[in-house]
Amino acid sequence: MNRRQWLAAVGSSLVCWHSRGAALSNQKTPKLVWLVLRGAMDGLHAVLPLADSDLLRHREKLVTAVQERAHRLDRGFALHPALPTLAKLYRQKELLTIVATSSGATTRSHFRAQDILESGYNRADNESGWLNRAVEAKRGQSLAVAHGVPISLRGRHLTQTWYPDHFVESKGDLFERLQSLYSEDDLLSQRLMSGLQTRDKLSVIDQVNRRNRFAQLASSCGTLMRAEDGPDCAMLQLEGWDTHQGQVRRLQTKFSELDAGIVSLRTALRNEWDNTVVIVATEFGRTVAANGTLGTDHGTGSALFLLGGAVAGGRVLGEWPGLKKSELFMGRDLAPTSDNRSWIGAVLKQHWQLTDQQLNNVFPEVPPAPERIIKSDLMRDTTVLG
Amino acid sequence: MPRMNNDSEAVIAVNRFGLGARGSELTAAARDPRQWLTKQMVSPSYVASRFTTVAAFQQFSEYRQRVRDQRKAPAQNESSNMQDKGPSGAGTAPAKVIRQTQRALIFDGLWQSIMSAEPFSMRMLDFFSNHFSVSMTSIQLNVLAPLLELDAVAPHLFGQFEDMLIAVIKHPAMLVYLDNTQSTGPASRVGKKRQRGLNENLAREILELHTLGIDGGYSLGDIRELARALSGWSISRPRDKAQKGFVYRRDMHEPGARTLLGIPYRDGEVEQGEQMLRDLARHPATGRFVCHKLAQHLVSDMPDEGLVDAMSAQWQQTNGNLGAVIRVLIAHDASWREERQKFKTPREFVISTLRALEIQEASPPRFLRQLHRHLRDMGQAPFGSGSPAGYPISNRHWDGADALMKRIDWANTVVAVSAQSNKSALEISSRLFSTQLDGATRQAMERAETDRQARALLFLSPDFQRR
Repeated sequence: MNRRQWLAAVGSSLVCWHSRGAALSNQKTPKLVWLVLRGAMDGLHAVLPLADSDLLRHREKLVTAVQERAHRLDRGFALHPALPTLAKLYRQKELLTIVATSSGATTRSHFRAQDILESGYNRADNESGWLNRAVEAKRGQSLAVAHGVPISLRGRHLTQTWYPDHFVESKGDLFERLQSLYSEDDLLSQRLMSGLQTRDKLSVIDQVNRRNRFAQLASSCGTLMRAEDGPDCAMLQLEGWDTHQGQVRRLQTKFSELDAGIVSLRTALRNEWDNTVVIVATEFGRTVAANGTLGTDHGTGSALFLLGGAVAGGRVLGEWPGLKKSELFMGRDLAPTSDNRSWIGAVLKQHWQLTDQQLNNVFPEVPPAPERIIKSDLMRDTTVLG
Repeated sequence: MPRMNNDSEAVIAVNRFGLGARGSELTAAARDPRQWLTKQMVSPSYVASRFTTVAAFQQFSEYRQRVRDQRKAPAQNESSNMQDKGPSGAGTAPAKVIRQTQRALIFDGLWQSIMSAEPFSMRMLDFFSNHFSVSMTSIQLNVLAPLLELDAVAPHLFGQFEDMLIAVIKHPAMLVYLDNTQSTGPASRVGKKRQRGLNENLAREILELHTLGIDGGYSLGDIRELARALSGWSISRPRDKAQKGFVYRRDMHEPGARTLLGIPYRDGEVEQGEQMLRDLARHPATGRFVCHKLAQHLVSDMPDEGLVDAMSAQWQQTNGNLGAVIRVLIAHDASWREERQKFKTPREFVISTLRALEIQEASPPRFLRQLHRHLRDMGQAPFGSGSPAGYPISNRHWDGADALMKRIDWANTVVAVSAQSNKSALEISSRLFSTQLDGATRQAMERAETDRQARALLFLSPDFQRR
């Protein structure tokens, strides 16, 4: 018996313990993907405020390198040229761009600010993440595409992790022997079956080509999510946004990587894309002015993306604070005019139907934004907008 | 309860309290399993020659100077930055040196455990290193973090908890990690002149994670009072030639008398904070918190209450003498129940496997030189918990499906690369479990296609996964 046959043979018994949530609904469950850009993405380089006449004064070299080819959005904003998929999603009304947002962090330390972004509290709690509290309230399943559990998914709810490793993959024969060895051990045999199922869901390409490129991780993430008993939410992360120097070239690469990741996530999700919201956030923005090494330093306000088939997109949201010296935060940063958590809260309210009380538990310090974020035909409870 | 025979107790001593048998450890333990443990209660004989805190500071200063020079340099055009790899830049030696040091330190720590003749002592080191967790979250911490365990934890492993606590809190890694280096009393000279203030991170974590525990009965006011007492506890600047490491800065220290948990403390310098830490270490809530966690680490996620009570009582009697507390744990019958209640963490699993295979230190294969990467793959990178709370202790955090698959793949690879081991799988199993091996495991091994597969099955067996 090879591994596939064996899986088929035990398949019937898997349903019992794997489908607690799935059995309740035949309809598709709303999916959420939480993508953290670690290292502080320069929001002004991602979403260029070309209509702001002060922009060039602060960072002429950074702007002129990309402004011609930038994808025009509304309100005088434009997306970086290396984000063609995001531009396409915007035109298809599946992308919301929110300008001048902050994570609520007042620190300029990357990891402190990431802790705050992930925990969702003003003072980070490294043992309780906002996504954990949200998925616990939803009574859903979650997946972290990571080596360990990131703060976002730490807490009372138990999350699954998955990440490609550097080991030689074991073969079917050993698995069969282990299954028999674990026959008296409920926990281990359950885990083995579940682990083999995950491997089976991932395509041969995922298995063979195990380089940790973001697009591949995003693709595997989408594949695992669209499976019948797949998780309701998943977390992805992409590092390398700390562009103190050589920003034009480095962000060209990073944005291409991000864009390719969104393409493969969307492809892998197939029809589930229509029920999906992807939240793309970073811990803080960067200085408005370019520094001496054609980069930018740690700042405050950045940009937030909400995208997916479930998003009522095609708009640029968020009040624009302006880039005059007097309008800058501490005279150097883009002043945030809204908090990421208010937008994420709105997603949780409209997409997952969390109650106000549950939302208050997820983000006690920030109420949800009133704007419509989710397409109304997807909202079961249309009264949420009052 | 009748005392088990020495064979059963030896298996427990070696696997539950040690790191799995290396060589003929089980035979040695069988003579008197409890004494076998107490004899190991010495600070691990760590070969710390490779690196010191002073050297770490030196390396970091060089690195920072280099980065500054680069930033100050006039902006070059984009194309000259083609090889740019972040602020380190192309060919910047200091960053590379730091990366090498970091790898060497992590690797050393792991090999110490694999080779150790005092595995119980290494388990205790792991526990307290994780209790005072610092993560490699910046270039500076990449080299400082492993030194905390070496400099501040190891020397006090079986001594007074207060000495360990003070050494840890004064260690540069902790002061940097929990942001105390800039914490300034508002009424201090620097505070008044530059309008700077307190950072409460360190004080909060000391109370919540290191001593009393979250339910230990302290208030926000206590956090602030401790933060005030610890203001001025800082580290040397790169240009300070005379002093490297901990520095007490009087002009940043909040003057005045303090009250912590209702106890008054006179106006004082560094001694004020030290006295507070001493009192916190002796506090019954601290004893209870640490003893419970220690029993969880060694014996069971839900430890026997009588065991925790006995340990806590000893803590109070001895003002937190860790050696005395651990002796109580060793002497207690609840520590020796046959049921294996703990699922090994990735670190314990990897180390015990390599000990069983009697891997030799000299020129390990490439696969094994990347142990730190493997542990990261398994979710337990050394100094990588990313939380001052450290890695979780309970089973449920380690026994997930993906975690098991990674163990399977790792074990399958390691038995292949360690093929030169001259012991058969059955010999290895009897060195670990004597005659106590589960029948199913023995059968699976006997039926294996190759001895290599038999070894993989042994390491993946429920007997070996749990301790």
